[in-house]
Amino acid sequence: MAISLSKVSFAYEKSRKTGPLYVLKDIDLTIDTEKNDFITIIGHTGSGKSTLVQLFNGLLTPSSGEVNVFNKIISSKKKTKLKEIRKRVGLVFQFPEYQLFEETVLKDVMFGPKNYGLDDIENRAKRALQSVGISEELFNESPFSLSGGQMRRVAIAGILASSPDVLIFDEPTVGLDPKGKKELLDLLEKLNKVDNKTIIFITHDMEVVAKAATRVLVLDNGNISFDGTKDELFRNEKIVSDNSLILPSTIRILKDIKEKLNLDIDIYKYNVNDAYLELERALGGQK
Amino acid sequence: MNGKIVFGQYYNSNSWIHRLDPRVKLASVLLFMICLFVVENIYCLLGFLGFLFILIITSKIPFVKFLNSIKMMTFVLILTFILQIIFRNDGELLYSFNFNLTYLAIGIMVALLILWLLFSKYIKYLKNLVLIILVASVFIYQYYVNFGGLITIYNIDIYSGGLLMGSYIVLRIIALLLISSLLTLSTTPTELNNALEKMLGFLKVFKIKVSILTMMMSIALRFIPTLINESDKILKAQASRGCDFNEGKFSERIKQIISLIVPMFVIAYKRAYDLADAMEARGYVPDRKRSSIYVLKYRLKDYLVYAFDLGLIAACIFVKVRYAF
Amino acid sequence: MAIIEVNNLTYRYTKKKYALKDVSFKIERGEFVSIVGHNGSGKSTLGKLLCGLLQTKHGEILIDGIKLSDDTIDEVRQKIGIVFQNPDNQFVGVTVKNDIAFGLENRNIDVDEMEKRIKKYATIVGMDEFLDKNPENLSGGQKQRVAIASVLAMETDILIFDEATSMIDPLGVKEVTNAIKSLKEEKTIIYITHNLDETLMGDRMIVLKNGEIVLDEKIDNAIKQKDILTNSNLEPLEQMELIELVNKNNLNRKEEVEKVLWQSAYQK
Repeated sequence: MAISLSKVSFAYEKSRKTGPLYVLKDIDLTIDTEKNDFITIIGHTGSGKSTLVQLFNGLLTPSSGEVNVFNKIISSKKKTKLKEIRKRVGLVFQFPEYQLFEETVLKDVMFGPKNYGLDDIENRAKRALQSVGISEELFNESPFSLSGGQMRRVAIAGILASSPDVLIFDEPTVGLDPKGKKELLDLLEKLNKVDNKTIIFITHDMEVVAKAATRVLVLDNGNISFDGTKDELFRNEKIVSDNSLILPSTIRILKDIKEKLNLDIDIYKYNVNDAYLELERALGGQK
Repeated sequence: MNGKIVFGQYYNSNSWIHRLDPRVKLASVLLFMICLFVVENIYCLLGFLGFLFILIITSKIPFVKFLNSIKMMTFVLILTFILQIIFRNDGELLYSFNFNLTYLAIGIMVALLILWLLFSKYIKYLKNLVLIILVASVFIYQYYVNFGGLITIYNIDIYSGGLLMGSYIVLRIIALLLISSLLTLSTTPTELNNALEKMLGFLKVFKIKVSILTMMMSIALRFIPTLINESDKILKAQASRGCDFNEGKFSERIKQIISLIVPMFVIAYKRAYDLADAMEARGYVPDRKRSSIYVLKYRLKDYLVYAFDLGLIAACIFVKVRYAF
Repeated sequence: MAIIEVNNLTYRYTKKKYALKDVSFKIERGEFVSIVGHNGSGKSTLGKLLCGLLQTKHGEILIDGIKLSDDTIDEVRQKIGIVFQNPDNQFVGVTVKNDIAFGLENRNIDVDEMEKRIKKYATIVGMDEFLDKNPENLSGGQKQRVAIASVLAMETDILIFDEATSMIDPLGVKEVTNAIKSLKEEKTIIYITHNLDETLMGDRMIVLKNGEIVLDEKIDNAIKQKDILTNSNLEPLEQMELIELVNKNNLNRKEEVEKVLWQSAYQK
């Protein structure tokens, strides 16, 4: 069971003179939901990241090629019932303001399950809210009275309540402070590891990639220019420099030390502790 | 990133009309419209139309753009024409048609109406043409068939006056459409806004705050494309939660519409709030004297157009007075 | 005389919750001060109070010796300019040129002077080729640079950046921070952020936590205060954490390592 794209292109119709404006070109891609991946998609603004994920749940239809989502085919040639696809592949946009509208938090989270005609919607909503860490006393508050971080959680619960298999996030950490960002990432890792959801995460933030990703896609000008693990990505100097990616800070720091002190260090460490241990090893221990 | 949304219908080219001072254009269009109403002579009207076509050709804007605006008004044009023909009865009688109103005819009309209401949404092309043919066939039927329980016979008389007046009014509406399209196609919304600000300055005398109105206009022009992009995202965010705008009971549909409107307001409000801060921080005080980066300066050709305008209105009044006596 | 002086400033949005509580500090002419804090720490409120977008009776603000009040607000705004977080919501004009002109029009500056300043400051932020573009065609970083040019054009002594990089992509951040760095010599800068690595551009750091100042020191000292920073819900720099670990465990060549780590912190 998976999402797979074969020869998918997407273009906005432009004037007859300039021809279609391609955002994505001939994309082949498979996402196996059995693997429980935490996939991050990186690339410059305008590289087609948002367009790509919107193809995954039928918000956009490919101009050519086929998108197969759990054996339902989305293509420009035929019409498909998109609702079932969207129930299984949920997308959370950057700002919670795009979706919150109900009088109370609980009602807002119930909106999704109700639309999909699911049963027991109130309990579903409550479970979803609890799993994103919204406590019961907030259930009857207005979603607009919450803090920024809480609003994002409620927005995520609003998708989670329909129990999708895949959760897509379009730059959810933008504008959050370090603590808010860390909490959100912890939540997503929990959803990934404990609740077995496949996470697809668009970001510009290499620290997020370093912390959480098990698979990384790099989009460059409408093409997938890299598909692999974060380790493979950061070790691939050509891809890093071609896309002017900023390496995660621990790698940058170790690289500096390696070059300036001429040490034999494996610089590809993703947190401070691992970086320290490697440094200790390379320096030959304590005085 | 959803293609580029262009607000207004401005068509970029570099004709002399594009380069005219927007104040001149605005004033001339208003004047031209007044002339169209002053003159009640079909030959003068045809003259105006001919003149308009010359303007359109020299504006280097494709004629299709103009046709689009006329197309939107087709229905109104046809209706006006028919009403004029039916209800005006001066001049000589040209034709007289007798129609037989029967029970059967009424039945057919009702049936056709129901069919139209049910199936018109499936007609993709030439919808208006189909409607005209349907309406026409109803009258043709009544003209030729007189069995099926005759109620009454009525007649429609076509007089030369009605025909003349009908075509006169239709041509006048077309001329109005063409001249206003010429203005909006050759002038950007911003230019128009600037022209308005300068020209309406005199309203200050009546304590109307023109500068505030035009500032509102220019902010609207700036933010409409942004808000259109936002509404697209809201639509997608709710679609991701299973919101399907094409199905559901009436009460569910209401809910779905609310799910779009509330976020739209929240976002627009937040933007407005931020923008107000940004404007205030940069020293904007409503209705205080401001300079303008847009300097509108009349050049020779602008004066020539003004002179022409004066000539035109004088000629119109002359014609009007001559024919009145 | 300090160019900014804040004495016992208190502000609250609702009766119960304080946004700022008895805040006092001075900023000298030409200083680059970073104000950091978590979301809701009061840092943006402080920014708005400094340029008179919010006002309070509790405490006073002196800008260049002038006490901020309703009567002096116009005068103060000629000395202080602010760049906000969201690049879209501060772009007033329909084009870049129009936007930079907006503040100048408000000051009733004549056209020739406007044209000159627009050209000059658009060039400084590298947007001089985009003068006729409208915001829909610009990236986040470009829009923020226009916002900076718009504020620069008003030729104020003090510039406030309120999380000016938090909503744009890494390339945009680089463009914007480079533009800001180049202004360091001429302006007094207040840089509000929650990213500690950006504070290294400045000379001094003020940390706010729940509306109160918990740290106000020269940047080199401030950046080392790992516990205070962590307690204020901020993320200490990895370099500082490593320095602490290296020293605690007394590693070989720890002085050299520490030197490289400091260099690496400042490099960005």
